[in-house]
Amino acid sequence: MFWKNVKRVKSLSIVTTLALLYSLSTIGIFIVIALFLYPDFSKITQAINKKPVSTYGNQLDSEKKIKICPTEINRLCIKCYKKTIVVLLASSIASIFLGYLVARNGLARMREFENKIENIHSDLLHERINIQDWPKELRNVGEKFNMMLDRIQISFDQLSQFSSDIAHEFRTPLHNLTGLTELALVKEKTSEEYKQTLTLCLEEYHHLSKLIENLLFLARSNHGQMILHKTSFSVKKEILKLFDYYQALAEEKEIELLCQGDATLVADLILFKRMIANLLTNSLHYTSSTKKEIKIEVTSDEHDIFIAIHDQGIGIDSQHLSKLFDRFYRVDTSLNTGSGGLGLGLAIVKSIIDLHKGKIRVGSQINRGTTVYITLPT
Amino acid sequence: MHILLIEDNEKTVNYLLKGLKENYFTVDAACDGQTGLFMATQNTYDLILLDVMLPHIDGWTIITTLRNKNITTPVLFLTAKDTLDDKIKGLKLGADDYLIKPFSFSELVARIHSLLRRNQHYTSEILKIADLVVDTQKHKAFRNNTALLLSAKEFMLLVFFLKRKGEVLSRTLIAEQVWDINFDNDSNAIDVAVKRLREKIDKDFSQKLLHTVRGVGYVLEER
Repeated sequence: MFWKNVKRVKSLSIVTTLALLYSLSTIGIFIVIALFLYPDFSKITQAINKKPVSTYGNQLDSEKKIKICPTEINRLCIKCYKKTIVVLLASSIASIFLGYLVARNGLARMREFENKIENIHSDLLHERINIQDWPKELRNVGEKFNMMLDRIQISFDQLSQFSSDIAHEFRTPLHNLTGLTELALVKEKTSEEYKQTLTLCLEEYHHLSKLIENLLFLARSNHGQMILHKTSFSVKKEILKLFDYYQALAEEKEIELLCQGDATLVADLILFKRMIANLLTNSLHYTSSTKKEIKIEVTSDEHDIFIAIHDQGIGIDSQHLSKLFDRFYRVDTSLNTGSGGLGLGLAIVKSIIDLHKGKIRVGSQINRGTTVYITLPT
Repeated sequence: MHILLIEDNEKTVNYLLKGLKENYFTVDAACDGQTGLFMATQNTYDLILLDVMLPHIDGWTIITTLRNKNITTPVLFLTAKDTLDDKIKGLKLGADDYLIKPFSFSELVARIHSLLRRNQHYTSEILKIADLVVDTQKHKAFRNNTALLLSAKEFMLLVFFLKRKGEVLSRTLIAEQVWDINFDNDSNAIDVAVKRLREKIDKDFSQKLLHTVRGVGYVLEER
């Protein structure tokens, strides 16, 4: 019980504690003064009260008392003054000392805080400051500090995940290149065979440089180094141009490309096209042939433009949906080589959406198809 | 064709010299900005290949100086700086084209050809290779005097190949020039488009004209 109260007092704001302390000590001082002076006061009042009584009552008795009275009252008054001064002095010294203790105790958390800051290292990012019994003034700072640590930890984790991903993604093509080259050098071969080796190497080089280009794009857009060149354009017109690009592929797979509705959007045109192209590439890739369609619907209200891309493809299991936009995340890990992609297409889409302060959401049903919903501010 | 190459990386210089000579260009090379600028002002070249990051004087300064001296030789920037703003800066200063390292060699050759071709005009609207004839004005294509049924984009693609017959064209370049797709894309749309064009122009004829160069791209030529 007692400790609980102490804790509550500890977690009070320093200013409140000090105010509380001073008002309590003021009351205390008054009480002490009253207690100390009570005997003398009562004597003085007795002396004063007896004076008028004496005039009516016993003359001799009263005269005797009046004789003593003036000096006695004076003496008592001086005694009272002295006592008051001593008590005031002592109590002010005591309250200064108590105030000092309260402030020191409150600010001791500051030193704790300092130590914590001093000891932050990348491998201790998971540690947080326990701010429960901190004074109110410092609790806010501590809370904000913990929140900052949260954010740093998240980006740090992302970054280390990212670098290990990079190392992994680079290792495969490099491994292929090493193998191919070694194999070509070990034994004499026909020029046709050398040519084949070189062609395979070239494909790996292309893969690597594409990987670098895409990773640079993501790094730049995530670190605010991307400058948007915004223009105003008709969404439908640009989508139809992209359809033109995918026409042959779609016809080959007997997939119909449709676009409904239109709106005028102010955005970076190249990035917008890149985003829609990445989504269309996915839709086309995961839609098996035979008379299916991919439909893009464009609608708008006064604030936003909504673009929904529906396909009738193989769909995505709901457990993958939340990770879909992560770098190098592939729904089917065995599909690694089959899709031919880098696993960065949707991460790029997400970063373009973020650059334009938009939103993206995916809904999907296995074997029924997937719909990507995009919201972009006009 | 006389080309000046200003580039400080020795390995790059060596392979570019080798490759460009194989493609019948005469090439002079300068390894730093100062020498490069001197050579560019002293001699007349048909084209300058210019790196941005150079010792002594950088590429931006070289092109500014050249344009200030009214030297209008086409300049193609070769650089590892790949942001759009660098690109725009280069083009604003008077560069004619821009290639980002690492680039494919065939892409470089294709761009050099297109820059050199800029000054020439096509007097004829009739483009020909073997028995394939395309009339760009009437939008008609014939193979061995039989009319070919091509969609609008297939026609554009064929004209693009014909204007650059004998050149190996990369998928990136085709996507950029025919469909205006200026960004990296994982789809095999180009392959399918070329395949369909090939079916229409080559399938029924013994002499094949449109060939695949594995790992690089496509080429239209008589073999």
